[in-house]
Amino acid sequence: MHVHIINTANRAQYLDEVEQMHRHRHRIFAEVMGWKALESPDRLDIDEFDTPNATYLVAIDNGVVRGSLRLIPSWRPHMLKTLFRDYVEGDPPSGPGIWEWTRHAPGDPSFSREINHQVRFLLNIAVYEFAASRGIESFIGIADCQIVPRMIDLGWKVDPIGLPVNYGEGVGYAFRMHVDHVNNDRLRARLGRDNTVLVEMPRGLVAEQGRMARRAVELAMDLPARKIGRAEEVLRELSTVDE
Amino acid sequence: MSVATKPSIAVLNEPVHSGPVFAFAEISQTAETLDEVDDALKKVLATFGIGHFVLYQATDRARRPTGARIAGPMHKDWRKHYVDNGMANHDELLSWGLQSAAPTTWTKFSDEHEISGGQKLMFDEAKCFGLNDGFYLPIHQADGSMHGVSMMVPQKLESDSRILAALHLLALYYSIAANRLGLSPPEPPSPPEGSKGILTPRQRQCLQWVRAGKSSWEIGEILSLSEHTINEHLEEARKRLKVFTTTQAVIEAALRGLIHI
Repeated sequence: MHVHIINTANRAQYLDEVEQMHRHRHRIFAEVMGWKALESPDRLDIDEFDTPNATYLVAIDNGVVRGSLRLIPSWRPHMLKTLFRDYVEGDPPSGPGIWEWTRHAPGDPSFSREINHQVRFLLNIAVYEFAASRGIESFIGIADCQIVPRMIDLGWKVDPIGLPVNYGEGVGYAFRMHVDHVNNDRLRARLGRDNTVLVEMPRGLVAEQGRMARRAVELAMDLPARKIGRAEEVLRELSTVDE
Repeated sequence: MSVATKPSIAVLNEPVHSGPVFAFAEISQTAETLDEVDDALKKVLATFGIGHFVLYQATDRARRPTGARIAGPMHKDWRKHYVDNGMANHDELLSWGLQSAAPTTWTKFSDEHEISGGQKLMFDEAKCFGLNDGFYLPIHQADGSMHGVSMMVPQKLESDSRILAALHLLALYYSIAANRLGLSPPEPPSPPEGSKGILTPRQRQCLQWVRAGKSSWEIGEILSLSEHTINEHLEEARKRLKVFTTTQAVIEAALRGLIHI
């Protein structure tokens, strides 16, 4: 299983997975957690913040979406700045190193324990890798009070920037979390995984090309050393076909 | 003319500043001992006129009630009254918390639920100790166990006020600090096959605390039982293990895998 960065640049390669993601989000928030406000007859969770400004980190396991989260730069419209402005004491943090983290939906109670454990860790590790690639220094968002002990268990330091508020589906508060990359090493050690988990495909690959490229990238990321020689042979062969 | 000290009701009616509450969240995540966290919480709560709070383990991982106190400067006389009368066994607030994750207050709880005469009496008795209201937050842990944080308040708490939100955040981070600093009470292991039934779970629990260096009085405080009851459990454990001293009993129980070494 890998976590893929999906944004406007490469979204066309992930049309099926994007739909799966919205369906999975509906399943988790509306059906499992019972958030009435997110119930939708088409069983897809899509809101006004699912725009080209959003970047998704999506855990994909052989074509099946196992979990996802949404990240929006703080200089674009986001929930804390518009919908939940009152949740923050003072001005909401904003700036080039700050992104909002929302719609965190790891796993599903119907998946196996093992898969849920993997997804939970992989999504968090992916967030650190994404932060490193974009120079993100802290994340902001709203956390349900019940979830906070689990975030802290995963090594995040969760600093409140507002008092708890009843948001209709529970009680939560606005937070800010600084990115401490040392914790990424701890998460990797706890999961027992030392290779990179995050995949970012280049833009502009057409359908079949895109699929092949994804498979190749995922394979290369997990390739054992003893197979590297053979992989090189195959690549040499492929690159000489048209000569 | 000297200015009289304001009664605590005035303190409660003043606007709640979030700064000290956020600062406590910081301390609870960085302090190295629970004593430091206790001191910080005492200071913040004092600004609300609250002097007494307690964090206890409401249930263990198997969802069995324990009532074990983990931390907090409990109101000593009220606690003694509560423990001596075995109130934890009938406290409807505690059983409600098993199914709830929302904070409540004694006043709100009494208004929203049909409480028994016994429960009403309990709240009334607390008033005799100067505790006119209480804040209560059940916190369900990932391992299935549950923390309860109680704060005893000299004045009635208004529902849906900023102070409740502030107390909610303080209680949540207090529980987080207790988890991080590893102060959950030791739970004895499940006894190996063949040794089951030698000691009751309560006897094993008492021996485990003796192993941790606690006196009978302290164990009584932790488990919400009287010192006398603890001594009875320990005496029965010595009899069953066929030894003379409690030290021998700890060694014997550890050798048989009934408690952690």
